[in-house]
Amino acid sequence: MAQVSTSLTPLDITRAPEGGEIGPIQSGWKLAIREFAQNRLAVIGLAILVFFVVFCFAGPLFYHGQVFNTNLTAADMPPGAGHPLGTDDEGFDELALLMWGGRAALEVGFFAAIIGIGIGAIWGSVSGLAGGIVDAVMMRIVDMFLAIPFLFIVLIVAVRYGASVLGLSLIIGAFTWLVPSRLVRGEVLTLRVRDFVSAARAAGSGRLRLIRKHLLPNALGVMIVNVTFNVADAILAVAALGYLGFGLHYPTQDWGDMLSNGIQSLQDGYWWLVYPVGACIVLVVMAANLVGDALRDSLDVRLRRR
Amino acid sequence: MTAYILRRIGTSIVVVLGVTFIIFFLLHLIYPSPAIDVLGPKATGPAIRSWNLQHGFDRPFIVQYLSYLGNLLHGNFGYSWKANQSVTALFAERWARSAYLSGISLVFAVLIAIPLGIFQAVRRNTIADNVVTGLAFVTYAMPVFMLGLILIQVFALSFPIFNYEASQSMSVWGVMTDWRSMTLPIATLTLISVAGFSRYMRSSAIDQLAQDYIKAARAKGLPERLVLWRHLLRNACLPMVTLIGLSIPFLLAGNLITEQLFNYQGLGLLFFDSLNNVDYNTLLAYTMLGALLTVVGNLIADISLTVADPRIRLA
Amino acid sequence: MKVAHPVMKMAALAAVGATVLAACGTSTSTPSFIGPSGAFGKVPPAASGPKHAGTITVAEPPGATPTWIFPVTPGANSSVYTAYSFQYEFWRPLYWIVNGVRPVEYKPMSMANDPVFSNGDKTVTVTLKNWVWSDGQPVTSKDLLFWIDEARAAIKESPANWGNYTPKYGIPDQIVTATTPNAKTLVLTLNKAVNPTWFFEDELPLIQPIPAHAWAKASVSGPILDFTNPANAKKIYDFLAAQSKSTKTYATNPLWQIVDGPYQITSFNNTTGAWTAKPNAKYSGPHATPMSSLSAVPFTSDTAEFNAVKSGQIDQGYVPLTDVPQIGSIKSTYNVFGYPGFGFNYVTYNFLDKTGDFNNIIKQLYIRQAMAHLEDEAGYIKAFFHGAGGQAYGPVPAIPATPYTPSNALTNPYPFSVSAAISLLKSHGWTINPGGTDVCANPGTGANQCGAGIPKGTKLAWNMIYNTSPAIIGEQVTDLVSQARKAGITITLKSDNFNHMIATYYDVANPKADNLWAMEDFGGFSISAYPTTLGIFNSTGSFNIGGYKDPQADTLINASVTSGNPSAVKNEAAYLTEQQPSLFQPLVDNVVVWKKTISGDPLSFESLTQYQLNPEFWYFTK
Repeated sequence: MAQVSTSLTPLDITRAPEGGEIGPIQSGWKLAIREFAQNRLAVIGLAILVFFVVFCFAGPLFYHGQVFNTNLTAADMPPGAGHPLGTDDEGFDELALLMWGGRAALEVGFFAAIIGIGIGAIWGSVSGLAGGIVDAVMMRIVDMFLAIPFLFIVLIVAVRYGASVLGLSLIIGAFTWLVPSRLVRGEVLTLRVRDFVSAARAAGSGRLRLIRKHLLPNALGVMIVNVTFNVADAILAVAALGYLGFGLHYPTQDWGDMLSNGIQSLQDGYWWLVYPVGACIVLVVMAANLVGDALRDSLDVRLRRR
Repeated sequence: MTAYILRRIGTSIVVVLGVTFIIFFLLHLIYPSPAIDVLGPKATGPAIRSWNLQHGFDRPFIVQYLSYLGNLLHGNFGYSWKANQSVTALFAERWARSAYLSGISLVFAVLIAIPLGIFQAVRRNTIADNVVTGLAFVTYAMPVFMLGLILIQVFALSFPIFNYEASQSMSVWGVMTDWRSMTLPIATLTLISVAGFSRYMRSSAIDQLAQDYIKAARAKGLPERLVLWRHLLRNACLPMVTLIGLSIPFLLAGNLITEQLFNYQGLGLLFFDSLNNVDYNTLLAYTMLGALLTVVGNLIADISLTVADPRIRLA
Repeated sequence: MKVAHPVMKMAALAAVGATVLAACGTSTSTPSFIGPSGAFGKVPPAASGPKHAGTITVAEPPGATPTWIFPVTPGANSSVYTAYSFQYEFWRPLYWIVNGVRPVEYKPMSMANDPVFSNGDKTVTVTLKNWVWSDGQPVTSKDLLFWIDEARAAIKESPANWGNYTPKYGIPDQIVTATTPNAKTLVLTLNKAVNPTWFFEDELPLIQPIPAHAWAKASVSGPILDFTNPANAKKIYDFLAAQSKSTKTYATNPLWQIVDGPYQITSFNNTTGAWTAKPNAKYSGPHATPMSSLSAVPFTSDTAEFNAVKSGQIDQGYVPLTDVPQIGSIKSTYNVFGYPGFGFNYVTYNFLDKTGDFNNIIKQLYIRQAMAHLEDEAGYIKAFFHGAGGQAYGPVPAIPATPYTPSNALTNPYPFSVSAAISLLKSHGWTINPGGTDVCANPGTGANQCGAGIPKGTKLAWNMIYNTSPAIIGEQVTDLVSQARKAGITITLKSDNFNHMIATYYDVANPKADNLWAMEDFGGFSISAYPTTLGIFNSTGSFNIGGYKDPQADTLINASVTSGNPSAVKNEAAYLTEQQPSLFQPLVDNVVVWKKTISGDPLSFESLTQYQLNPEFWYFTK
């Protein structure tokens, strides 16, 4: 959820697809891509994401606004010559800040998602396949961590380990593997009772082959979908941390901190410190969610009805 | 089924115990003793030692944990040295306000999201669906403090229709009747929730629409309205029960940032203040309460999920 | 987030994660803010014409909720708000050492004539004026003694029971005997000679007379006990402390209705900290006639407070620093005045950090001077304080005006100049790498060499911990680090919060972390009227966070407290301004506002910037 709640995760779990239908996989992927391409919102979302990746990572090669050397005589200047989007309180160029800040936001979002999904997939599939007491213990551990308010943990880590791209990614990743692990486990559990798995077992397929041939391809869909959502959530989480004073800091820039700093002076009329960066966050988070939703829809072959 | 539920409750107790240990351990890791935070930076060595002795912070960690646990079992959440009150008293004065804010926002969100989601599912990929989806996505993508501040700026300052802060009334009834003050905080929470819920409802309804029983109902020639009301709504809403179960932590914990933004005396604000002055027992109690509620929410969600979808083998 | 300021005695009145906080200030938008200035706006003279009473609504800043009412306040519950804006309304201190924005005595509000020192500054005689309690009984020397004995009883139980306690110094540890030869006179005999100005301005005002005839008992209905018996004093303290812990009963407990201050509490909400009070008809000090009632309204965030100001819902509030540019929008309904509180903001150096030989590096005066040259105070005030502040170069800045400001603190001894910093480093044997890291090329102890304990190849690179709240700390250190980078000094920032910083990066209290930090910025100190840095910069000071050690400074600080030399504290400040034991930062104005329909003695509005709340001087003009 977007709100910083005591726990980032509870409502995320609701994105769990209801245990996807299993079909012939090969043609499914093709169908999925076609389905995705037909979803206009998803294509727009993808285009937005591509634009921001280029903007943030290639932008600074062409646009050399100052984000390292402060210039207090040029602080809080409205957009104008030399500064198309104005300057902030340190005299940094807002457009250049958007590029550098987006870079950190995307990096944290992506790393955190990969870390979270990675741990979650392993934990979930081991748990689901093992079953029995192992499964129960592993899932109770997930419950324990899921029950600990996210902010509390982040506060501890931010205080003890400082705020860096890597640190934030690790901590957000370390607390977002819980949901994917449940999803993957759910997927595994559903698959285990499906006829074709039983059939494969009856036919004497090995466990590894079972994982490779059936479980992974199906779970992969869930995981890809989850990465996109987690990227979105991580960006929002960093923004919330920035608002509470535990975001990134100089010389690293981040959208979340830019927004929370700027919003303090919204009523002073420094709109250029708020709306551009606010729009960037909303666009990227929205785009990631659009893509994730469309991916999920298109991977769910039951939807072929129309 | 009963056996399953009993076992599930049993494991929940284990989980709660595990959580208390993790939280207590982590807090002690960063703040072995809150003495300096409580006494202020000027506190001298003797003062700190005497304070630690007085409050048991000189004992080994595990002893402190067990004694904390013992107190918890007696319903004693400890004392807030900063607020000069017992944590139980602090919570007793605030929980109802948090419950009201989160509860009514949840009710509104569900009441809006269910019809909206079904509407979108039925009109899937039409312009109307896309517009609603787009709006939901924009709202969902907005940091909550940004949404709240924009609402304040527009509806309280630029056009003073509503109050810029939540009701300051001390009675819950007073808060409830003060719609002018409560509209914006409730709207902030509701909007964010609707955005998430309606997406969920939409895909749940789409799932159901693809099911055989709907096809059969349609094939029988039932009017579409009846199909939707009688079959779809009930089945598509079942998972919403899960959703509400999972939202329970929000009910009491309220919403940290919304309460802070609107100056609302709830538990979230209490936690926020406790963070800032390391109010040990309040932090612990709040975190444990959140953990407990999450576990209970999960329990309800798991049980209802099992009831709803017997395909999932009982673990 | 406003952190409540723990009240500190001695030099440090309040440690401030956030002294820096609610600031505000000057009107001008001219970029040239060089030199001390500091005041924002002007307080209008008291309005003539009819005076009306009503209820004055004042804003309570976030974190200012009072949690203790009995005037011997434990460290856990003490803050400048609890003391100055709550307890002082009911129980006045013996001497009143704030006069508008100036830290000097305001005689009409003092309860006694100036103290007389004799016996080589070892005996102090205090003679009370004719004040009365709200129940009509006179305030006597017994009431002074009662407070001293209860403070002693509290400390004996635990040193944490009185937040202003400094072992060995001042009240009560230096008092050998306290006698009351008659109802108006208190005589204190001290264990050694004290500096009379220090004892008068910093120590005696800590005494708040309390009604012995009503409070000297050990239970609600118990008899009045002889408090001079230590066993009784302890029983009385335990009883009164327990009553004070019952926050629910503040307005209903008959004990707290016996006051010598201008107000009597009429309601107290222990959830929010909101409280109301009615005038004390028997108040003996100066006040407006008729006197108004008081209502304190708590706020949980600066934003919420300023929104309330903008919508005109409170009579007296403040302007958060971020909202200074919006002052224009409230000027038609509110008077605005800003001034820095007494004290200083600083970045602490850790003289014990051996990481990368930082202890040896920072020991060099030229390094500390170079750091001072990298600080763009004028730029901070313009860009971050929106003009609401004043420059400060030492522990006793030129603002607020005090008799103790040394001449070298009037103009910046180390003005902002990256090139000056570079040439200082160059001339001491460092190879300069702007944007990179400087390296010591010429080790040794000569005048043109790096200095003792700094081997060849040593890098000018270290870390700095800063408090994320208030935001202006982060803004200032960002610029500092950016300017240092230009001079080839690599400072790595790490964000933290106030509580963790004072619990961790604090050489005196936590020697384990000595090598973990090189610089830290947690805010600063409020200072009491007599601005010695005893406790902060003396080598054995309990708040000498970075282990600064300088025999000359020790001698000067000791003289400020024990010698009779009236300019001792000025000499101390001059030396510290030159030596830069820490990086002194500009001061932020506290900007306060009050409705144009309220008027009164201008001094009572000025002193709001010093956290003093004296609504007894105010009246409605219509």
